[in-house]
Amino acid sequence: MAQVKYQKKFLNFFVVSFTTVLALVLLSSYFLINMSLNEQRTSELNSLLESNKNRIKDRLQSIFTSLEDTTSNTFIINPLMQFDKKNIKLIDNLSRLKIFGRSGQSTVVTFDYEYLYGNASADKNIIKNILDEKLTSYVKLINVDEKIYRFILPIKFEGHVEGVFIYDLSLDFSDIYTQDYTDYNYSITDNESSLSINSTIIPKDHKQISRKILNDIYLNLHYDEYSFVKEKIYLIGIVFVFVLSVLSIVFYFFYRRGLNEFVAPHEQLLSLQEELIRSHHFRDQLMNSTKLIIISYNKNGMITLFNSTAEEYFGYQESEIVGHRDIFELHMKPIDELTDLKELLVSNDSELKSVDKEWTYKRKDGSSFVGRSMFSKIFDGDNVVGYLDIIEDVTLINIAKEMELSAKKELENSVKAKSEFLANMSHEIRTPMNGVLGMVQLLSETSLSDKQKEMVETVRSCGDSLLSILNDILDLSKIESGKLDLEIIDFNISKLIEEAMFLLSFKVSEKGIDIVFHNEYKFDDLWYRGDITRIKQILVNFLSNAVKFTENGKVEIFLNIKDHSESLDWIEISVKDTGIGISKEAQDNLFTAFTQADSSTTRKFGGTGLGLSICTKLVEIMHGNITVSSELGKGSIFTFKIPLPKGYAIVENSLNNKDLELNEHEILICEDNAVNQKLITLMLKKLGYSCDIAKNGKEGIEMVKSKDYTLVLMDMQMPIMDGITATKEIHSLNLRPRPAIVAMTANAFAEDKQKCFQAGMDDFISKPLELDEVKRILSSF
Amino acid sequence: MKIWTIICSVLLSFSVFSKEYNLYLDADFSIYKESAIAISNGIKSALSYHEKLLGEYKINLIELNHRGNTRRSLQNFKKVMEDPKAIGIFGGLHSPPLIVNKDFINKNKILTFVPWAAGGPITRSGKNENWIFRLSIDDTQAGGFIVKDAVKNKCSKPYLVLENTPWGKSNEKNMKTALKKYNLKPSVVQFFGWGVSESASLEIASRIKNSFSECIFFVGNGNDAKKIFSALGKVKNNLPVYSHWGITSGNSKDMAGLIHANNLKVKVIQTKFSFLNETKNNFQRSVEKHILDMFQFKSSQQISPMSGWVHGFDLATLLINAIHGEKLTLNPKSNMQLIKNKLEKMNKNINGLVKDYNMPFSNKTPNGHEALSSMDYIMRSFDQNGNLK
Repeated sequence: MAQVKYQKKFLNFFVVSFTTVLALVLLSSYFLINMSLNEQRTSELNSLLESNKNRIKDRLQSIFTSLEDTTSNTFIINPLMQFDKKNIKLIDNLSRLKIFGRSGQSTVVTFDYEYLYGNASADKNIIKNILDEKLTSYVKLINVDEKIYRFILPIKFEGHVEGVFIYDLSLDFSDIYTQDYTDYNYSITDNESSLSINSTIIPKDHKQISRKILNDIYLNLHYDEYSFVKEKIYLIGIVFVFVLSVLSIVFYFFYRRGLNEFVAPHEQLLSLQEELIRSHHFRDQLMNSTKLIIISYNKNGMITLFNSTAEEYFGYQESEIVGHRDIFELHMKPIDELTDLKELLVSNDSELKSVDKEWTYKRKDGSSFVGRSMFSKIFDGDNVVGYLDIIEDVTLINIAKEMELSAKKELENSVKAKSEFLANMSHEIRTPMNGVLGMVQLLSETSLSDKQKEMVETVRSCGDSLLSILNDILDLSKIESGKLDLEIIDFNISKLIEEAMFLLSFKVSEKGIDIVFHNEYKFDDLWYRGDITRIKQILVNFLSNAVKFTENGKVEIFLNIKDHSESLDWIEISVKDTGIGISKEAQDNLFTAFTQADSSTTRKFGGTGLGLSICTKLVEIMHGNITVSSELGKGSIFTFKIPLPKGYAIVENSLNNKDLELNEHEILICEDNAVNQKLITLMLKKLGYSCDIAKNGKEGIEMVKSKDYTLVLMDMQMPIMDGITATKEIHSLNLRPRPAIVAMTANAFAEDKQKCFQAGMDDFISKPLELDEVKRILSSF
Repeated sequence: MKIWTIICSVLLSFSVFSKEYNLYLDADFSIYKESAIAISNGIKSALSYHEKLLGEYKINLIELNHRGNTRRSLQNFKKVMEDPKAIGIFGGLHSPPLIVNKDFINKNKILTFVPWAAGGPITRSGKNENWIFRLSIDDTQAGGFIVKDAVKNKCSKPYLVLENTPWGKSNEKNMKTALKKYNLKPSVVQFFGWGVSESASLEIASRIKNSFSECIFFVGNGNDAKKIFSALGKVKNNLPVYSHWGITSGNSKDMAGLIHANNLKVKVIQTKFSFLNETKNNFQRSVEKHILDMFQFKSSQQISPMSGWVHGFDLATLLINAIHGEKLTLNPKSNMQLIKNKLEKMNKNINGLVKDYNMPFSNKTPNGHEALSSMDYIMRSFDQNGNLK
C-alpha cells in the first residue's frame, strides 16, 4: 500500500518536475531563440548596413583620393598661389575634370574666400574649418532629386592649406547593394535631406538602422519587422514542438528508470526503515522489559543509551541524560577510586574486555544503591567504540546472601548444638558407664562365686558393648561436625595389623575360625606417619565384621603397598572372609549410617550399622577410599586404601605400664559427680594414693591455695566453675611449684583437648578412666 | 570699461614709443624660410649696424609670411596699409606676389623693397606711380647675363626649364631676347608648376636628354630645382646647367650635396659680393665682424644664403640713409612718400656690401628702381660645403 502510495507520489513529483522543467526549458528556449534570432537579425542587418556603408564610404573616399590627386596638381596650385583666374590650364583641366567617368562641377576658393574658379556657394564654416585644418575633407548631399553630392577638400601646397576645392558630383550607389535590394530599402540622409537609394517609397511602419558614412551623411537600412516576427514565431514553434517531443521521451525514459532505480530502492529502504523501527522497538521493549539496568556509553564515557529500568533506578529521564552526562556522574565514588573501571576505560589492552563487579551507584536525588555491573567494551573490529554496562540490583541478593549466611550459621550452630548435644549425651552416658564399668572391674577383682563372676562378666560385656556404641556415635558426630582431627604419629603398619588381630583373637578362637595376615614386607620397611588409632579403628571394624559374619573358614588380612615414592606410599589393607557375603543391592547402602546389609542381619548379628559409615568417613578424611567386593554366601573382601607419608622407626619403651615407677603425689580431685569421685578415689587407693575432693572449680582453687598439691585431676564440666576457668585461675595464682593439672573428661574430641592445653592443662585422660592411664599420669609428673 | 582700457593703452604706447616705426618683411617663411630668414637677418644687421644713423628713431622689423601665395601677400600689404607706423615693406624670394600685386602696391603707394625677387616687371610699373625699389638680380638683365656666360662656354642649344609663373615667363622672354642677339634660340622651352612631382621631373629630364641640347637654362626655386636636378642625375644627363639664382633659396648645403652627388655642373647667377671673397674692404670687414658678433657666428660660411643677407643689408642701409635726417610723422603715407622721394634722390656715396651706392635709385624708367645692374653679377658654382664660389 505504502509502495503504491510512493509510486503515486513519485509520479506526481515527476509530473510536476516535468511540467516545471518543460516550462523552464520552453521559456529559456524562447528567450534564447528570441535573443539569438534578434542578435542574428541585428548582426545581419548591421553587417549588411556596415558592409554597404563601407562600400559607399570607400566609394566616397576614393572620390576624395581622386580629387586630392587633382588638387595637388600644378594646374590648380600655380594659379591658386598666384591668383591667376584666367589660367588656361586651370580652366581647361577643371572644365574637363571627370571622376570615375562622371563629370561634376568644380570650384576653387582661395584661403580668403575668393573664387578662383567656379561658383559653388559652399558653407563658409566648412571652408574655414578646412582652411584651419580642423576638417580634412567634407561631403554632403546637396541635391536629393539629382543625387548630387558635394565634395569639399583642401588644396595644399608644400603641406600648407592654400585654398579649397569643391566638387559637385551626381552619384548613384544602387550598384553597391543590388544583392539585397529586394529585401531591404536603403536611404541616405544628410541632416534634413533624405535620399532613397532604392527609389521606392519606404513604408512608414518599417524600422530603420543607420550608420554614419562620412560627416553628416548617414546610410539607413529600412526593414520590415513584421515579417521577421512571423519568421521568428514559426521557428520558435518548431523548436517548441521539438523540445516538447524530446523532453517527453527523456522524461518517460527517466520516469521508467526512476521507478526501477529510485523508487524500488526507496521502497526497499522504506521496508528496511520499518524493519529498523520494529527492530528498535523490539530492542526498546527488550531493554525496557528487563529488570536489568542497561546503559551504554560512547568512547569518551558519554551516555548513549539508558533503558527504562535505568530510568527507574537512577531517577533520570533518558532525554535528560543521553548525550548530556557521563559514566562518572552515575557512580558514588569519584573516578579515581573506581580503579578497575578506570583501568578498563583507559586501557588499550584488548585482552581486558570487561569488569564484573559491584559498585555503589548514585541516583539523581543523591541516594545510592548497590548494583552488580557487567561492564564491557564494545568493539568495532579492533577498535573500542564504546562501553556497555549491564547492572543488576543486588540489594535483594545481598539480603538473601546475608540470610543464607545467617541460615548457614544457624545450621552450623544447630549442627554444633547437635554435636555438642551428642557429646554431652555421650559424656553424660559415659560418666555413669564409667562408674558402672569401673565398679564392675573392681567387683570382678573381689572374691566372687562362679555364678557371680559370670554375672559380673555379663554386666561388663554389656557395658563394653554400650560403650562401643557410644564411641561410635561420638565418632560419627565428631566427623559430621568436622571436629575430628587426626593425631599424626610415627607407627609400624605391620605392628598395627598384629595389634588389631590380637584384639580379635579371643573371638576368633571362640568361633573356631582362622585369622591369617599375609605380609610380604619387612617390618622395618613399614614405618609410616598417620593416625594409628583411627587406622586401627578401621581395620578392627573390618575384622570385627569379618569375624562376626564368618561361621566357618577363615579371615585373611592382605597388605599391599602401591605407588612407591620417596615420601609417600599408598597403603592398601584388605580383609577377606568366608562369611555370608553381601548382595549387590545391599552393597550400595553398605556405607550409609545406621544401615546394615539386611534388617535380619541386625537381628541375628546385632550392631548399630555405624561402623562402616564411620570407616568410610575416616578413610575419606585420610584422602583414601574404601571398596567392597562380595558375593552372597561366599564371603566378602573389604579393602581400604590410604596415602601415608613415610615415618621413622620408634624405639619401643621396654617398660610396661605395669612396671611404671609411681611418684609421690599430693592429689586433688575436682569432680562434681559422686560416682566418679568414688571411682577415682578407689583407683588411687588401689595404687597406694590418697586424695582430696573438690566439688567444683571454685572449691578446687580454694583448696589449691590452702595446700601444696602436686597433681590436680580436673573435670571439665562442673557447676559454679568449669575446669577450664579453674585451670586459668590456678595459673593466675603463680604458685611455686605449681601443681600439674590433668584434665579428666568424657569429651573425647581433639577440640576439647586443644581447649585444655590452651587453658594451661598439662595432660589429658578420658573417661571412663582406665587404671593404666591413671598409672601413666602418676608416673609422668 | 574694456574699451577705455584699450584706448588708454594705445595712447600710452604712442606717447612712449612715438619714435618707433615698423618695417615689414613679407616673405615665404614656410617653404623657403632660409631665404626669408637671411633677408630678415640682413635687415636686422643693417638696423643694428646703422643704429646711430637712425638717431632717435627705433625701427621694428615685423615678419609676415605669405607662404608664396600672392593672395596672402596681398592680404599682408593690406595689413601694412592699416599700420600708422609702417614705413615700408620688404619682399621675399618670390616674384609672383610682387608682380601680381604690383598694381595694388603702386596704387596704394606702399613703399616696397625687393632684396631678392628678380622678376623683371616688379620694378616696372608701366604707370606714373612706382613704389617698388629693388637691390637684387634683375631678370631683364640676368637672362642676358646667363646667356652670355653660356654662349661663352659654347652652348648654342640651351634647353629652357622654367617655372610656370610670371617670373618664369619673364625669364623666358628675356633669355629668348638675349639668345636672339647671338642668333640662337632655345632648343626647347619647358615650363613646370610649383611643387613639380618626381614623375614630371623625370619626364622633363628624359626630354632634355633626348633633345640634343647643349646646356640647360634653369629658372625656378630650390625645392623644384632639387627634384629636377635629381631627375637629371637619374637619367645621367651631364649637360651644364646655367641657373637663375632661385636655387639658392633653400638650404645651400643640401643643394650643393645634391649637385655633387648627381655629378651635375651647375652655375648660378649671383651678385658679386660674398663674405667668402678673399679681398674685402674695411666696410665689408666691419659689417662682417658686426654680423659675426651679433649672431655669434664662428665663420662667414654661416652667413647663408648669402644673397639674402647681403641684399637685405644693403637695401636696409639705403632705407636707413633715406630716413636719416628726415622728420617722420604719424602719417604713414607721408612718411613713405618722404622716404621714396629721398631714395630717388640720394646723390651721396653710401657704403654698401655689393658696392658703394651713389644715386642708386631714380624715378627714371626702366631701371630707375634697380640698385644693381648686370655689372654687379657673376656666375658661381657650389663647393662641397654649399658655398658659392
